[in-house]
Amino acid sequence: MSDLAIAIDEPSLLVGVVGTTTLSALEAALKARGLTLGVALERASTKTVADWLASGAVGSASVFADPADHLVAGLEATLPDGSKLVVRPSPRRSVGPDLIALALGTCGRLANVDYAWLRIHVKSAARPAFPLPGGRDLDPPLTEQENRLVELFASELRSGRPS
Amino acid sequence: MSEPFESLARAFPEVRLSADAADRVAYARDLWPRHHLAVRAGNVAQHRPAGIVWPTSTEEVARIVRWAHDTETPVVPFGAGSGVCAGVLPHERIVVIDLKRLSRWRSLDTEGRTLDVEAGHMGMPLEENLNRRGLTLGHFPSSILCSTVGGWIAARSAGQCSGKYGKIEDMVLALECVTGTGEVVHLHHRTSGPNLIPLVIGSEGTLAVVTCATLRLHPNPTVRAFAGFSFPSTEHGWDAMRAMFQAGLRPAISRLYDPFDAMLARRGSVEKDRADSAAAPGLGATALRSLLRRPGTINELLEGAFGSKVLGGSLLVLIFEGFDDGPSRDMEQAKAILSRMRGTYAGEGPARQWLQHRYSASYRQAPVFAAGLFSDTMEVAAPWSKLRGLYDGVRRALGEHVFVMAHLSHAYPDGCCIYFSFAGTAAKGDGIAGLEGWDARCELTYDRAWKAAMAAAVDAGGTLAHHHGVGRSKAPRMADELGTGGVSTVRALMRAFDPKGILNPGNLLPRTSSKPTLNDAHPRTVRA
Ligand SMILES: Cc1cc2nc3c(=O)[nH]c(=O)nc-3n(C[C@H](O)[C@H](O)[C@H](O)COP(=O)(O)OP(=O)(O)OC[C@H]3O[C@@H](n4cnc5c(N)ncnc54)[C@H](O)[C@@H]3O)c2cc1C
Repeated sequence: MSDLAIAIDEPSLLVGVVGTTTLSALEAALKARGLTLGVALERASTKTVADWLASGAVGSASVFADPADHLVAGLEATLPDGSKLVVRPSPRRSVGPDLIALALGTCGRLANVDYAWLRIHVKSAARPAFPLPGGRDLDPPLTEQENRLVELFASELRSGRPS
Repeated sequence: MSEPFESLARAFPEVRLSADAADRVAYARDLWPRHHLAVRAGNVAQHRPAGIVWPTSTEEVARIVRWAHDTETPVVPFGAGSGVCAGVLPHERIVVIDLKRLSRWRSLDTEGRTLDVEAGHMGMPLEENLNRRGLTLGHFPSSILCSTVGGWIAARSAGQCSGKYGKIEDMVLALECVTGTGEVVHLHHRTSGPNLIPLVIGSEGTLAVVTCATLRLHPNPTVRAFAGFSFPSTEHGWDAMRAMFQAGLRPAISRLYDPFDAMLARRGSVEKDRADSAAAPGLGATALRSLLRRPGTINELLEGAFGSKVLGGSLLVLIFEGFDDGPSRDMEQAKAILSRMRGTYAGEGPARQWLQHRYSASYRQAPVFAAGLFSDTMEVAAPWSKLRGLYDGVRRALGEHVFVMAHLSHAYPDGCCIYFSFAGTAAKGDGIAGLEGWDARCELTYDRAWKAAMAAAVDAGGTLAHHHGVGRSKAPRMADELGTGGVSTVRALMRAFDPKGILNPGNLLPRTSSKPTLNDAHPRTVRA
């Protein structure tokens, strides 16, 4: 984690940001450098980055719009047993399950974000879009079975068994 | 037939299975190059599975896994065995579940552009069948001829066109899988989360057996634009790639070769039809073996400005694909960016030739091994700001032990993958006491090179693998990659999905207990 609340890695177009930073403060810091988070903030702008990610990063583009891009490149989070999870920023990886999924849209049930590495954009740059044809619900409600799995993960993560 | 396998055969008389000696040898390993050294030494895997079972439906997979759970018999899901990290390394108690007979298309939605396909479907026929309907998955791993949908998902695979279509994890809309208790679960993509699919993708058979996936499709492109560009150095080339991706361009192919790899690519494109019998163009096996005993010197010579000059700089191969004038417009924009960044247009030839031979380069390992050497690849990744450190660090670490070259073929707006290819020979000097034989000393060089390179990758802030996965070959280094928090999180997921630890035990993370028993990933004595 950087010492700065907002650390911009311009060559990589990434920003490292402390979870308690509000989206509006983050966007203002980016704007000063001609950059943007590139999401439709609207009502979310008073939210902190941690809350926004926990509640599903509303306003961000679907991963299917630009498959080469993604929103979260890395993060640091606190797990239900109080231990820390660090996923170092990387454009992609193939080293087991993607642990970032534990923090995105799980409302803090599995992990709470302390720090995140997010993708940012040059304000003037084009954003490619290859959207999935309409019709498919990309945000279906959680099924009972999936909910049971989330509960199971939470209880295993709470058990704090050593690695 | 072993006792557990006999009980399986009794329990499932209608399911095809085999404990035949030849089958057990065939399923005893994947394509981890270190296995090839043992084979070359005349040894085949000692630890063969108890047997192989070929289910044809999700229900059969679920019943088999339930049986395994009840009898505490470890099982290993098996796609086509093209993994290169010892993700498949059975044991005489292990039952291999080969998914290839589970390979139907369940439903194709041409309007919504999705396909429900079973996990054992092989790559190439899948793509060809889609093409006939004017569609593409957009996933073209070099192993497309010898890998399955389930294997791609399990290993977080990347295809050659990841710059446009993403990696396999960017294509999955829903998954059906069987957990370690034998329960069939259905997971759905959820943009706002919770999305459990990314937890199963990349789990390499340790959390669940993937039985079916809903994949996102694209219209099959009808037009392509081609170009090659030379750059004074590899770094100039990757700066240009970065600029393209950050400007919003999404080339289907953007492959940057370092000067030596570029020289091979330039030569190879001309000679490929006749060069398949040579490990390196123009050199005999003996000369190569002695040359590679001083890899440090050769690497230093070729890496510097001298090497760049003699070999002709780095080469970027670029292909845009799409419809109408889209690809040519994108190419014009790319040309403008690249020429501002010291790229010299080299015509369409290099890109056209690459496309023509797009799968052949990956199948040239056999002559290297036949020459008494070994070869392997390592694909690491990092944000752009860390790429220089990663490139230098890993290159230097490998270069002390083996001859190394690199290309960069999976770029994103925030970073890139570096794909190192290396070749080495038997170790000499320190540390070889007690190691008899050429192949054992090759193994020593191999292990030293990997150990040093993995440490260097983590030190430079990179990830250990971009698309080949972890298997058992990188499992001992996962704590460096994930930290203790990450490792215990993965273990917690393993307990939740597979409470008895029967799914591919010892894979992804080193085993913690002797139950179920497993062999070492680095068997010293393997005898036929
Ligand atoms: C010549 C060559 C070129 C290659 N090029 C590429 C490339 O361009 N891109 C790339 O990403 N990889 C590449 N690879 C690596 C390899 O092909 C991939 O890892 C591929 O995804 C493995 O698929 P498979 O069906 O052969 O899986 P296998 O090798 O059979 O299995 C791989 C792992 O996944 C698990 N597994 C397999 N099927 C399932 C399932 N249905 N459910 C749960 N777990 C399962 C296995 O237990 C094992 O741990 C290459 C390999 C070779 C030999």
